[in-house]
Amino acid sequence: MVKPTPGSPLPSPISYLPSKALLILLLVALLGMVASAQLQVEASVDTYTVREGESINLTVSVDAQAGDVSPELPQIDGFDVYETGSNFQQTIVNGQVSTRMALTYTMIAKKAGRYTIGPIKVALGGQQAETQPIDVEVLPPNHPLPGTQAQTQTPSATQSPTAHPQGFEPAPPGLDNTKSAFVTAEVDRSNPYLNQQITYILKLYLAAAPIGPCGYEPPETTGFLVEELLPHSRTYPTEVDGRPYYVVEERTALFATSPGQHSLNPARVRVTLQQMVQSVFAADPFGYSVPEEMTLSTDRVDVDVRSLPTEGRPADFGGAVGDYAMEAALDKTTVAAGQPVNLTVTVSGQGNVNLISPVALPALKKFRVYDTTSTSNVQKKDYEVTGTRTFRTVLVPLEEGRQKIEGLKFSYFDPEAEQYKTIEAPAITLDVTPGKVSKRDEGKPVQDKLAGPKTSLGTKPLGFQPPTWLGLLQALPLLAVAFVLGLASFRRWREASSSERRQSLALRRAKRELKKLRSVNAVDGGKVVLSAVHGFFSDRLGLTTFGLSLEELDRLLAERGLAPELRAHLRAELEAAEEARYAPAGQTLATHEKTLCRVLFEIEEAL
Amino acid sequence: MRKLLCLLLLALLLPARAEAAAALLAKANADYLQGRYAAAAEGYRGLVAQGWRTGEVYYNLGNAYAKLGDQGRARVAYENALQLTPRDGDLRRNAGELAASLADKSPAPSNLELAASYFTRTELVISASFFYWVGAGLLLWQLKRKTATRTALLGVCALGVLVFGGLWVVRERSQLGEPAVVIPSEVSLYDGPGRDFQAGLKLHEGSLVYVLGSRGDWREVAALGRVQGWLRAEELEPVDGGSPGDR
Repeated sequence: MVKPTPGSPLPSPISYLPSKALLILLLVALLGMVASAQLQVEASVDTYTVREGESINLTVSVDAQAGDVSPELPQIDGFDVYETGSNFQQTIVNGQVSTRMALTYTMIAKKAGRYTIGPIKVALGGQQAETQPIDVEVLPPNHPLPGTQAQTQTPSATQSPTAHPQGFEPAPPGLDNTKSAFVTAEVDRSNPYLNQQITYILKLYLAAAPIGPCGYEPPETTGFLVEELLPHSRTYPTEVDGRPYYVVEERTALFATSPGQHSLNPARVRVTLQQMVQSVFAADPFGYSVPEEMTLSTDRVDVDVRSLPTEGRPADFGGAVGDYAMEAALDKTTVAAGQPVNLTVTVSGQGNVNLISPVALPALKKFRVYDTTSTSNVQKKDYEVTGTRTFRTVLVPLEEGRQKIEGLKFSYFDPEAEQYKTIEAPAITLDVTPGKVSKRDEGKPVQDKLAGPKTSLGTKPLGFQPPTWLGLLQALPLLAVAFVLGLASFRRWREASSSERRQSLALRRAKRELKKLRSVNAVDGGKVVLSAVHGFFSDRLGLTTFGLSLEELDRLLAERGLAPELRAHLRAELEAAEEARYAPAGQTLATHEKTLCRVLFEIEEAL
Repeated sequence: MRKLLCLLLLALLLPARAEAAAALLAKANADYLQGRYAAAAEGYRGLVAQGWRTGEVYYNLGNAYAKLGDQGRARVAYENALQLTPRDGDLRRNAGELAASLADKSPAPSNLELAASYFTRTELVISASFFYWVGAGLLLWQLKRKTATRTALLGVCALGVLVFGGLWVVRERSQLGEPAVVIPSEVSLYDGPGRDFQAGLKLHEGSLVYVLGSRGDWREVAALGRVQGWLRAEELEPVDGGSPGDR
């Protein structure tokens, strides 16, 4: 089963729009490294005559040996030129690299007159090549196009109703021709049976050439099996109330999986078109064109799926809907007893063959029957899902003689005839010659093939039904791992918090320490000062400064950006503390307490 | 003191009950070997009723039913036995022979389902849990200090969890509902819970189905791997030999 990928691009219909008056111009330039490059350039247009506002497609192809391609587009009056595609191929044969490049341009005619495209020149490694000039004509907007349009298959407003282009298909009535692009959706059956094919048809109508590929967002298909149909899409010209369009049509097969009302929500198509805009200047009669991106939506499509009738339903009906035929065959007509043969039952026809249940085998008492395997081969032809479902069963004949396999039946519902049908395969005969039948394959009933009874009672089960909470225990390891990881994380956080706390309390601790200066002599006071100051830095900076000399401490603080004045004050206080070691007895450093506290406060502020 | 006496009494009675069960098994086996299959089946059923819901007893019961030509009940007994002793060679062979002789063929299991069928649910859960717990312990240890040996062991544990856990998931998913077996020789699957609904596919004796739901006396079942329908409860015998904790 293949579903369309949402957003997958539809094939650009640009290649199908060679008609309307348009002009395409292409330019290619190649540069090469190979001196002996064989350089050729060709240019072609899809039409030579267009009307204002219509476009011409120009294709330029360049063949050369390897080289750097640098396109060069000549100036062409009277047209807006847009590059709409490029194709680059490089091949290496016997070490020779050759390049083929094709550029495609869409040219929108702005002004009536005769114009010449080219010659388009290409240069490569000192060589030059050019195309023949191409003359094109742009007619006024309402001017009828000549009946001898060259290379065009596009419908034209000037063509007579009967002179439709090749592939023309009439549009259904009731469409709106005032839009340059619109999209419709429908199903071929709005009241199908369960598992009957429905074809979803999406049509994109374009009155102008799109730029780039169209984005297709298929509808939601909940409640359906989806099969992509072949060909994936087709295009054809049409007319809506006299206005020419090109139609890009996409078809998808759907099979409803349940009866009742189903809805296919709108599909969406994104497309960018060149739109002519009339100039606001009265003196400019031609206007200009601008790209316009549009998102087009279909209407919702409702499908009422019918149940399969219960009346007349065969007992062996397995859900197949469609129109089928059945064949059955053995891979051998003669086989020795005990040797396997393959019975192949093939059901083929129109419908979703994947829904076909295994064909029930009749009772084959004179065969050992192995499990049946099945394969499906789904085909899509002319927008119909058809296919083959093949069932293979290995049979081992157990008795010699002519054996007959008959009664192979298959039932399905035919939605066209609205009735169940049962088909039966012709009888198959198999000549079984004498052979060695293995003990396992002997035609004995199953009762005679059984291994003997057990003499042990086995282990009596505990009869223990684990309570639900026991299952919850399985969460314990995960909780344990989470707990350990959380704990580690908490510890890291706490350490970080501790460091911050120490920083915030540094000054308070230092002040508390310095209070001791009031009660100790100068010798001990020096030690107190050193302890308080170094403790402060230890807490505040997270560094141990006890072992540092005054010069080293000063340098450290300088690195931390402390002002020289503060450093000088601190140094003076620490020198005083050092000198206090040699102070006479009875002297104290109490007078230094306030000074030190202020210095440390200022340092903390500065840090 | 009273508790002690009770325990003592129990200890004395247990061997006696086991001896009685062994005697019953010996008698049933003798009946079986002498072709008295109904008596043998009665004996094996008696053992089951006494709580001997073991793979061996169910296997013997399945054999007795098979000999009697009661394919449905034989299938029930074999399925019960397979849930308890899935690697028993005789059991797998006999169950295979019986399944091959049935009119309805179950779809062939996938390789993974086949692998999972060699283990009981308990074995798979315990194995997966073992590797899971050991792996979690190793992971905790690994968080403390990482070593190559522990990393390798952790990998082994992860693989064990993956293999046994995966097989457990496969085993559970392969069982669409509570297993049961069709007992009558032929029954019709209805597309609704009642005789008023349309009868469709026919199922035959011994066909294994999975009960998805119930309404009154009717059971909604999945049969032959993919067909759904309704059967009367009396047409089915559940496969519930071992208690869930013992499977």
